[in-house]
Amino acid sequence: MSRTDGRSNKLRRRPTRTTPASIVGVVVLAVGIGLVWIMVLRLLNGRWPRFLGDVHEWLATLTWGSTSTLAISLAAIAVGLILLFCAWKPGQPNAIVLRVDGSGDAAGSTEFVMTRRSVARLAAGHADLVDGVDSVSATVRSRRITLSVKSQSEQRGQLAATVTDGVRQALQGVGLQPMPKITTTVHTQRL
Amino acid sequence: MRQRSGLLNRAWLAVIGLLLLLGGIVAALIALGLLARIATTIGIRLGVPATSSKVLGSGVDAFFDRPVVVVAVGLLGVILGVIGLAWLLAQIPRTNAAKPFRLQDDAARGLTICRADVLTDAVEADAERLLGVADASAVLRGTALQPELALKVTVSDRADIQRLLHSLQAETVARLVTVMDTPLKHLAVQVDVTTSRHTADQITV
Repeated sequence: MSRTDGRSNKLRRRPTRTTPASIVGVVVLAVGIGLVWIMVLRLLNGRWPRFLGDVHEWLATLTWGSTSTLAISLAAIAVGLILLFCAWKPGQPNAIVLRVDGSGDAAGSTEFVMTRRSVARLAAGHADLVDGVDSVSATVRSRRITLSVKSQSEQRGQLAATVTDGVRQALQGVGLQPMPKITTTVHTQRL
Repeated sequence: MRQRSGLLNRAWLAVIGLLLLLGGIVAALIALGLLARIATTIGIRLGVPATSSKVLGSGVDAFFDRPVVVVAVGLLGVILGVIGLAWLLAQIPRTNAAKPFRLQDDAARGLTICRADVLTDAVEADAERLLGVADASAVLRGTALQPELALKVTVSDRADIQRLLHSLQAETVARLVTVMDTPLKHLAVQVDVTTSRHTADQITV
């Protein structure tokens, strides 16, 4: 059977929040192990571990209106807001959809994607074909491609337009949907 | 093409974040002495502790010395430990390939079992024969009646990608459909691009 337990079959997906989830998972696991360990010590020794006594003494002096209580409350609010932000923030998708005309005969549904890294490689590869380009780096977001070109040419505007046109034609041929906006910046390198 | 637990992570982060946020807000309102005022204004009778009262009541020691509470602490630890471990294990990306397909599930006529990797090996070899494909990897999911194919093809940055995707469907996928004798429920293709190595040749005229 296909997995439906929170794991998506889609190739184009948003960030999976692995880092915050792993951090919270480790904290939850550590708290669980700590509680079991405390219970085992309590059963073995017949009394709660000594370090809990220090915590208990500190908590016993704590009043609701104290600065410590307020600080702990604000810390909980801050951590809660951070976790909610991690859960809510959509993030950049890992890939851009490819439009393929006449697809769908072989399968009930189809999905064609190209990873953003591959789009960057493709854009940089085609920009590198333009005469006058010494080196190029590309940054790809879901709706924007930014090309940074190094050249010895002083005709920065003309070169930028040529590179942008060349890359746009190449990517239109690939079928990116939607077609990202391409911005090229040319930096002149002096000999 | 490996599946990750994005939805699970978002859901649990939201639940834990919401609990912390609400708990923190309630505690902060008590600490500032605002919760009692709000309750009075709204007209709700709440047993809100005063700001001068202790956070831990006097009966806490007796409560935690009860054997049931000791066991409950351990049980809570086990539950949290299992949840934490399960959540951490869910972070591992999984292929979730299909179990061996039962192509003829009739006891009277015998049972034909086909492992999914046998088919995906053939699909990969087939795809790698197409012009411009440097590498291919495939995963079959679902069942023999409703198979789903996820295919990753690595192509040169000079390849005609549209033509390649048409060929993949018309040849590679079509052959898989013929072999399995059923259309795919879902076809997912991820195109990766590898930069071609630039070589410099010199010609003296």
